[in-house]
Amino acid sequence: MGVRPTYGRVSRYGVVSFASSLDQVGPISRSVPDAAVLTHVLSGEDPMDSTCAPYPPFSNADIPAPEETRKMRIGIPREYFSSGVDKVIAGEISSIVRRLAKEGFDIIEISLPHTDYALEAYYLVALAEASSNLARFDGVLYGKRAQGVKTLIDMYRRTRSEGFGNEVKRRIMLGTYALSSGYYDEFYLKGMKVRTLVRQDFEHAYEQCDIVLTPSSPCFPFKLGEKISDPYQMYLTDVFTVPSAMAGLPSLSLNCAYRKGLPVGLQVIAGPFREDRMFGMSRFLEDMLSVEPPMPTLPAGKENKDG
Amino acid sequence: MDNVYITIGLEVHCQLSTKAKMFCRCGTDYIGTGPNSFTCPICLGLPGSLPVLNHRVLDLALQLALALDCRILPTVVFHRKNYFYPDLPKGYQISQFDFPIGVDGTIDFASQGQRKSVRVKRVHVEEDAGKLVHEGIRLSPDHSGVDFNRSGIPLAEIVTEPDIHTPEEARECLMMFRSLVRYLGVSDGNMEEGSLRCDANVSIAHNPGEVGVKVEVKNMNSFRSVYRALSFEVERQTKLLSEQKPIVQETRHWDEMKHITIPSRSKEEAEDYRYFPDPDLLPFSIDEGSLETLREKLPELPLERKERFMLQHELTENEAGVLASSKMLADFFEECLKELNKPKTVCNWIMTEVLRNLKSMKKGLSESELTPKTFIELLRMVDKKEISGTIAKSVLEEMFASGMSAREVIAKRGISFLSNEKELESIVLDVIEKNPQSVADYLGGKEKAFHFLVGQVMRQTRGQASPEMVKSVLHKQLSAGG
Ligand SMILES: [Zn+2]
Repeated sequence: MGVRPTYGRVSRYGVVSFASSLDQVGPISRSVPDAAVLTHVLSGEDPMDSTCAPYPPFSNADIPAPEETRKMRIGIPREYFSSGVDKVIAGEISSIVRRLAKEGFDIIEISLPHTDYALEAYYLVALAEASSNLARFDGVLYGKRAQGVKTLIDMYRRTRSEGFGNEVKRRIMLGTYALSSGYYDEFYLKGMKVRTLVRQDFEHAYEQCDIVLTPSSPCFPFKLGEKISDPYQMYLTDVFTVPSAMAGLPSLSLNCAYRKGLPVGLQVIAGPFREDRMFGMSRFLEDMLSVEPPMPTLPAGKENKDG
Repeated sequence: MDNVYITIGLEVHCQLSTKAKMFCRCGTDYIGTGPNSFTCPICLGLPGSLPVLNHRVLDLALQLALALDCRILPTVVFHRKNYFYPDLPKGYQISQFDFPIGVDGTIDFASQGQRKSVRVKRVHVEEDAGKLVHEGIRLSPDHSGVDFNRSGIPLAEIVTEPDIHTPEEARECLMMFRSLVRYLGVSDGNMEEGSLRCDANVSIAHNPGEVGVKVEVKNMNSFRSVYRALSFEVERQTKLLSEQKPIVQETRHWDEMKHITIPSRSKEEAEDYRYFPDPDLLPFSIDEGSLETLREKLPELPLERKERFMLQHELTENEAGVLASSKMLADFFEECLKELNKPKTVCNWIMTEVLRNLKSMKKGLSESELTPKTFIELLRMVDKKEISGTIAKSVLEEMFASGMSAREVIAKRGISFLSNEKELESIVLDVIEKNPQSVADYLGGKEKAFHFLVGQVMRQTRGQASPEMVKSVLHKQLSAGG
């Protein structure tokens, strides 16, 4: 499973920035308690990072016990179960929700109306920031410098052409475009406005519920390199994890079932700095589901040409 | 030649006097150290490093904006200005865009006895870049070095409206600005060392109110070069206008050696800086309370002080202007008045003797050991006629040279100046009596006779008296006797 803590929970100092307003360090682990311990260790205020919140570290002691957890109201956003979602995945999540209801949880249908716009907005904001953050890899001070260059421009052009992979170059170009004069308002600024709306969606939702459950992805994992020729299709698989990232909320994705050896991801999203609820709910789910991961059958190794 | 109307706007950068850089803890006092000795992962822009604002920068910039009578914006936002250059390690400069520190201010100064006012468009803060080094490095000739000691040093940028109409006004406006930052203590305002830099936009037109093609002039490193560069530029454009040749919108550099402006080599295709709010820094709110505290702490500013000196101490415009131009000098003057309330006398002594001594020693008042107390002790002795003005001048000279007090100087010379002067008087009278012919010759207009008499007195004093003093006493007695 993987955890993304609240934006500002963990210092970004020492982390190579991709999208500064979205980047957040979180653990990947085998179990919820392991993830919680790691989050405890990672979190806390840092005077070297202005965006790191001045709060004490998250503590394991804050995680509610199962009886307390059972009192949480669970919000199920209808936008995450639309026609674009794989029917098997939607079915698995729905059956888990029914089990939770039997366990005594309050299940509330909620709406996060700007979900459809979150993905495009995310890519505008993230790539704009990335284009600026990656400017420092220019061959002057840090990292690779192309050899045999004649002029300064030549050095920049060749260093960056040789040093970055295709996907990174694509992102730098899209991000640069989104910030260009004449397009800033239409792209970057609009992306930021959508971000505010997405955040407000969640704020309204948490007036009605304590925790939100969604599928982590609309589709099953695809094969390495399978969608390489269609980056938009590839970006689309992020559609359910991006809104919580845009809102800076803590979220956890755990494997709730396996179909034909492939996992179905369940996403647990809590309010800002409510990692306690996120871990409480996740631990409850882990215990309730007790999923045994199948042993993967490894195909012959094939190299990723797009790194 | 028809009249032309000149329009000039200034863009001034000044280094804010902080101990640490703007976004890291590196020191700023790098002068005299080797290249890249004041750097860290943050000001080198290494991957993984993040900026944290030094709040002192905001305090200083706010003081400056308040002193320029700006409207202070309630929120400070830092933007990234993205462009590639080897002296810019992150590939962007942290600057400000649509939420600067202050907007809509004014800078007031005196120009030929008149109070002039230039509107200030905005005051914002930004980090400085590093510096390219082309000489004195052990690299092949087709390489350049980069020194990042300046990288991350806090700067305030002040942009004026085009309200200036002569090169002289531009110089005066800039001098007032320097005086202002020094009064506030927000910058040392040193143009030669680069802590104060000025660019200007110049345009000319046939009619008032009409604005011609804007030409940006850069690389003016002294007040004199601001005046010279702008004068050159006005002349150049006027000539083009009269010959009905086009004036090109461009950036030109002032060549200090050749005394001309030349077009910048760098191709100035309109660069797109892709400004956006820096996501590594949160917006800061400026609270009204701390703003009020800063406002109360503002010192009296140079122009107000000059006008007060004229009114309160009845100084001339020139006297008040010279004294008030430097806070140090003005404070010294007013400290002196507390001890000896004779503004005209104190002012005269400062304007002539103190400034002359400082100039010949190439020192500032702060570097000399003269204090209001030691200075007034001397003036009081003159005031009570214990010593003559002439003696006082030579005593002051020695006070500057040795750092001794007036009484110490007098004691060291081993003679009481007063008795010495009385003694000298009797010697002078004696010489006058014994040399009636020379006296008559002198009174008849023979200058040579005076030198003879001086020589006689010097011989009698066995060289103990200063020639200056002898001359003055002799003059006095001869004119009294004649
Ligand atoms: Zn540093």
